[in-house]
Amino acid sequence: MMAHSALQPTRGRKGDGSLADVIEVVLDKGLVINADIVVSVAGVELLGIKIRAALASFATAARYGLEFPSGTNIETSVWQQAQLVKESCPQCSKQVPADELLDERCPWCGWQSARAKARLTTPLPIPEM
Amino acid sequence: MSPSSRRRPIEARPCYIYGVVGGDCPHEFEARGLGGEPVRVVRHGDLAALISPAPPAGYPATQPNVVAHELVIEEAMRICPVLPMRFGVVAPNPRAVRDSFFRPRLVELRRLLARVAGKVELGLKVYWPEQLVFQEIVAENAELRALRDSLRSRPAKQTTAERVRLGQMVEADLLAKRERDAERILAALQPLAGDLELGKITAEMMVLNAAFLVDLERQGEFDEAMTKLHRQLGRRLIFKYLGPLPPYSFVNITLEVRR
Repeated sequence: MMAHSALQPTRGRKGDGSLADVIEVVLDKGLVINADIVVSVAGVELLGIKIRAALASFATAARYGLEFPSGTNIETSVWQQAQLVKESCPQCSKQVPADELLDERCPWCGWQSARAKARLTTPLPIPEM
Repeated sequence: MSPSSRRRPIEARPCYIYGVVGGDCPHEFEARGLGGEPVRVVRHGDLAALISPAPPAGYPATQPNVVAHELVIEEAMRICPVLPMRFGVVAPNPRAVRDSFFRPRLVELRRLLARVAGKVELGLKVYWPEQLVFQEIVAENAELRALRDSLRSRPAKQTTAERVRLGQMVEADLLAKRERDAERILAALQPLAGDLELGKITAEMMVLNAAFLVDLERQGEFDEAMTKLHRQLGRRLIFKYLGPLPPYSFVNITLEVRR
């Protein structure tokens, strides 16, 4: 009997780890009345889960690109540095190393900071003859 | 009971709304509502709302409160179709629910109830085990492998552009892999479901975030299909199968209501 039994869905029992999933659904889905008859609707921030687009691939590569598959776990300074200071690009919100974002451009969407623009568009000084 | 319930008649007090049911749903509920208040049924024509007296500020989204909300809806769901409200909706009084909520929305609410009648929601989230999926990507893409190897011995300052390109390749492969894996899973399950709602991908390792609206009679069949998928793919995918739930994902709409 057990051998043939189908996979059963879990359902919010304490201890099986699915209660949080049920709670997430109850807070995030369902009918909402948006009206002046409503006194209050809990403004729930979904249990702290900030929904983000796919993580920046730069960060992805930095974290994983050199660490597998052959079991060679190389904590090289290259990758540590790559993980150092990152900022969200204000245009595409990907994580980009702060220096690159501010001084050059966003490698994903091409966004440029005012600082970079000023620097890149300022004509080179003409050398004195 | 709170002191305010003795001071003011129940018809004048704010009420918490759990959900909307057909008018033939039972009057008596075993489950206690939020704040330990009794659950009542407020009828309007052939529809009814499940409510309980509430403080004007409503209830905070604590685990016991959310679970109490869910238990009331689950009890109703065993007997009749329910449109579950999202947690936290409070109206000024039961009359407002009748006059301002039901009256202008009867047709839409009836249509929604008919859509979910005899069905349950089954949730499925699928993830990759982190190490494994990157192993797959590296193993499947020779160009990526070569690029990675060429970066190992060189200082970071000289390889910024290449590292970005490596990241782009990893991301492109991840996206393509997600699409392939999700399609395979949906192809097996979608034919058994009356409806499907795809949720947002909320984690890098998430492959699929779906809710299925499944006929009560086909739930066993759906479980079998999940078992089969798990047998085929369980080595490289993590399945989180949740339910049966009230059809939250299929009434996930905001009703604009005027007083």
